[in-house]
Amino acid sequence: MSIQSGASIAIRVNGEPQSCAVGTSLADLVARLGLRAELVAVEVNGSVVRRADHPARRLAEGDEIEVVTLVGGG
Amino acid sequence: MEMTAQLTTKKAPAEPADEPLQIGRTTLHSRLLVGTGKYATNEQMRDALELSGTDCVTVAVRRVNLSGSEPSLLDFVDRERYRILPNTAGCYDAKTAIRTAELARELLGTSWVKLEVLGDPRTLLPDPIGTLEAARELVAQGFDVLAYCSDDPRLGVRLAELGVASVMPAGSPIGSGQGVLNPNAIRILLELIDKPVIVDAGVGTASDVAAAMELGVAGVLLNSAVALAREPLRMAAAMRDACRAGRNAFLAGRIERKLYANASSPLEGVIGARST
Repeated sequence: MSIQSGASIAIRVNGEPQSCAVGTSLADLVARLGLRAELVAVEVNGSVVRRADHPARRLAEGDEIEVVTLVGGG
Repeated sequence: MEMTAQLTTKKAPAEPADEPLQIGRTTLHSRLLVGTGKYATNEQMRDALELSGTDCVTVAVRRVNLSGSEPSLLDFVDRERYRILPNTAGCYDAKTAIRTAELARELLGTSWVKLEVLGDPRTLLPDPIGTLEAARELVAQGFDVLAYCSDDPRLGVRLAELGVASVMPAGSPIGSGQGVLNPNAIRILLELIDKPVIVDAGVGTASDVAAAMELGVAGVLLNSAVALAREPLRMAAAMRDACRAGRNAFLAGRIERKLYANASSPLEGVIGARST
């Protein structure tokens, strides 16, 4: 898939506004955030996207993304 | 000399065995479930878990920190050794709790969850309506649901009817250390349902665990009582012993409470007595 140079889209990651190049995949985003894919789970617009589907899932303008991990708790 | 030889050659009798704790599709060998929150360091948590004897630890699901990577909790919890039970702590409505459970399933590759739907951040009391709603959906999705709830026996019955794997009444509010405030409610619940009942929340010290286990509950889940003790490692060991002690006492069957004394030693044959 070709990436249009310069074109970017606005998304939200864990509530924070971010931008990324058109064509960015969910896998690209997880890598850009410096996260180990096996230690996170990702939701786009309220639905979980399975890890195996991250490379194929292209981000779209306005996507609301939640990236979570495990922390200490009872 | 002869007596000593006799005593040492006889082997100690084996402690009567207990059965493992079955929760849905999961088999546990300790009846103590321990949380991973609030420890001073990850190393302290790891050591406390080991000393507690648990084989099931709870974890929470939270947003990753976007401004820098942190060590992962999973680097300190050996998944070969512990079953990891994710919770939905911090969720105040069924929908958020369901989403959190789905994320946990994706993260861990397991389909069980400690369901918490809370009423408000000050009391952290479970919201019974939201809990029922979320439990219904998660059971339909194939989750083994361990439902944290208030100690109302009727609510426990409704959750059991929905098909949860375990009903987990709070002994008292989360982190309050008040112990089991209404043991009679737990006793009634135990009579009404066949699902494993696990006392979750409120434990302050070892005797709270022993007392809960003596009621006949299947297990106890705790976190703060160990993590915030002055010496968490020592308290973890105390909780391990209390859980085993309470369980064994329950299985052994306590004696009845009586108003008057009942001598352990024979009443006859005391020196100084004269016939006629």
